[in-house]
Amino acid sequence: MINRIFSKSLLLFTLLSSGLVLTIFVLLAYLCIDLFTLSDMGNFFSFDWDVEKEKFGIATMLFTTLVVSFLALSLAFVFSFSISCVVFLTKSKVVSYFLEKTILLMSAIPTIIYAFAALFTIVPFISEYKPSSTLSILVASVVLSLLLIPTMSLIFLNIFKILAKKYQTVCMNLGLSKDEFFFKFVIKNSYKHLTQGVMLALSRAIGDTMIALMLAGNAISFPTSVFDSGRTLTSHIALIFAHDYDSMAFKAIFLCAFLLLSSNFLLIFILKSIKVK
Amino acid sequence: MKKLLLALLCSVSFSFGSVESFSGLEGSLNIAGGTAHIKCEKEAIKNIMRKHSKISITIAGGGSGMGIKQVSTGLIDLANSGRKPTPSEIQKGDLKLFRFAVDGIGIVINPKNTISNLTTQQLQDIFSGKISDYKELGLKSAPINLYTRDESSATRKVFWKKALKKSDIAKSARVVSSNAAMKTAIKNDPNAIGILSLGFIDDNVKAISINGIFPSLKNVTNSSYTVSRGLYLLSSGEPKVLAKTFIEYMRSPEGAKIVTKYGFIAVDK
Repeated sequence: MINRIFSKSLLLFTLLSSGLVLTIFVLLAYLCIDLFTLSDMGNFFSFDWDVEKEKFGIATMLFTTLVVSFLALSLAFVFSFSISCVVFLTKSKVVSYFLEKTILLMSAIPTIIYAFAALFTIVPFISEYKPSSTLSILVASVVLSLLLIPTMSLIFLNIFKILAKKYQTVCMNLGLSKDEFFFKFVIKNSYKHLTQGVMLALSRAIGDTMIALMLAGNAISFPTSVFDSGRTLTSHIALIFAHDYDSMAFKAIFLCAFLLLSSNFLLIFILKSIKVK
Repeated sequence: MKKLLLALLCSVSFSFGSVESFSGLEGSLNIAGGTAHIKCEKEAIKNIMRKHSKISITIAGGGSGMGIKQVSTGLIDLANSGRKPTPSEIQKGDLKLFRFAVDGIGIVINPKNTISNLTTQQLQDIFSGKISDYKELGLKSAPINLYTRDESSATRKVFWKKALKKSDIAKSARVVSSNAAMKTAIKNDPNAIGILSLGFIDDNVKAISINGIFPSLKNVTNSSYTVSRGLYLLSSGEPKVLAKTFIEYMRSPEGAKIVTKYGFIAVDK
């Protein structure tokens, strides 16, 4: 009886929250349609943002978001995969315990702490060697990758452990060493889960605001190198939010929000399709 | 009897606009908006709440534009603004303006930088991106890292109007969202040039003169330094009792002491 009530309530809350997210998505889509009736669609998808000249292109911010996210993701993947492998393969319990606890600790640190710490450590360091790149896409990506490492590492480790629990004894009895078991069996059978971990991390990277806002520099010019300053969609929303409600600049942030939510839906869809296979 | 009346009159007049004027009041007051106001208002709030436990006053940043928007929609009781709202903003939000301080906006650089003065033309060229290296200012070659505030910031608007004479600001300029963030950015970047409220200038950054006039309180007071603006508290309609008492406190001699302590010029109208 209690189980039934619990599962029904769970279903109700899931439906409610899904409905809420869907309502927000529909509302944003409606507001965007409204936006396109006020100005040419090309204006919003151009690379030129200049409020004084009534240019509201957000393509630069979209491009910067993708660059920051994928750069952070690439860096984080290398570290997360390496850490997960070391934790799984090491014979030293101290090393695996230390690494696992460090990852857990990292996952509990709020985003703003990473950004704040970087502002007083990485930024002055960079200013010594690359004076024009103190607040840049590279700095934001490096710090953002620190945020993604725990998300990916924990998912990777989880699947490694599940597979080991199920098949390690059998494989060992068949004469495989632990290294062979890991590289020839675990890795080959965890591609889909590894991809899920990457997608979840990507979703987190695209949605992050504080690190990009505090470290990417927020320049509205089109970045031509990772050493340039740039503005992501989330930072753009945060910076433009203070504009007058009736201004086109304020209305353009609905399109930014719609694109962000759409990207999340797309990633969830990819995640689901991976699971179904 | 006369003495008693005189004592009563004196105590009333002394309590008007002082922390004592909050006696008997209770409730909450929410303030948000411009970030230049925060430091001095925080001290005022601390003084008030220390003596009156039934009063709760919160203060948040967000920029003048955000404050004006929030007070107009009734989300907050008072807005901090570093500029006069536009006639359309005043009309839309039925805004009442209460100026309590005058602030200057200075050009700031990292203390390691040796520049001490810039002309208006040099400023315009630097902020528009025409001059992008210190070499062009006669110094050792290094990139000029330009910092500005977000477009809804009053600090940016006043600076753009009064110091840059409405000339362009380069798109490559880095944008920070508060005076505090600007100070941190300038402090950590030896090649930085940015803009900052005078109330935020301390040893971590170096203010420089414009056309030979240093951004000091004295120069703002005697109007020789013209890049200045009023600091306002705004309410939508007539302010309620607690908000009104807070405004009176900020404009009182006690409030003026706090305002002056934080590098602004106290005014009561």
